Amino acid sequence: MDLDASLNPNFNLDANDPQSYTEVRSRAMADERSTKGVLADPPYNQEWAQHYAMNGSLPTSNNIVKYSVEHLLPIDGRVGVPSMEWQRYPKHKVKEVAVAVYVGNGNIGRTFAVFEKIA
Amino acid sequence: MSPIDRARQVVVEPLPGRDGLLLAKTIALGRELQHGSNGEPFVLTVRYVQNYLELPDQAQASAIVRQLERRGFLHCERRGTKTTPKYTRATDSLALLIGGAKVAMSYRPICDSWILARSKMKYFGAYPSGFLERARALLGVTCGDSVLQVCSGRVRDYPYRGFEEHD
Repeated sequence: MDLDASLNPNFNLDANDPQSYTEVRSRAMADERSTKGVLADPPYNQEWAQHYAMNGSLPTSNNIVKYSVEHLLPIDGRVGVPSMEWQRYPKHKVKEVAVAVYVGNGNIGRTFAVFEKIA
Repeated sequence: MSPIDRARQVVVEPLPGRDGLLLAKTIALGRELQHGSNGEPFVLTVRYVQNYLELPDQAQASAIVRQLERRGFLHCERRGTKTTPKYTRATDSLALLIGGAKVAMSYRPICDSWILARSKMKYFGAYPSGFLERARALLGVTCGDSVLQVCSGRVRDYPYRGFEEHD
């Protein structure tokens, strides 16, 4: 799923829109292949978002986690998002693990957080 | 002294690299203990090894708990909050308090650190080298499972393992 049509994504949808996840779920059910997990790599902040063709559109990791859990994933399904901040997520619906990710000296550190839907 | 410390202690040792057998062994022992404990609580501690997919400790522990629950002889009551669990154990083991209808497990909010090579793709914000395979393992999915890549960019061109046919 990506908003930039020039990248030829399977789903040219907005990750900030809950309807996008509902649509992906409908397509997956039609194909009889449910989505077992979500892996997202949104821009970390507005400054990073300027590097993409969508003119600064910033899908937040908070929304991606929330909508994935609420509209797409089955129980036990997981969503993973690398981010520079700890995401907000639906309370009482997930449990989580986190991994610190570093790339090279002098580079930024990120947290790859994985949330599992439990209710 | 916590209920875990007072309870009878039973340890399951794994066979290295044979996680399926570890799970089967755990389930069989749990069932046997449940029938023979006469309602007395006991702690079943599973010493596990990381499998070939490098599944993290937390994911593997969760999988075992889920399997035990699905088989209907374990009812879990997770205690405490996300950041301050009431019962904690050593980080290299999973402890289950069965019979007393409570469960406690090792809990590590930060479970690992990955120091990876820079991305080899000419696309701003591409995944670091080796990231996708590790991330996929953390999601607990197999290569045949469908994973939705959100804000995917040019993930199809990722030169290493981790992007699969049904993604």
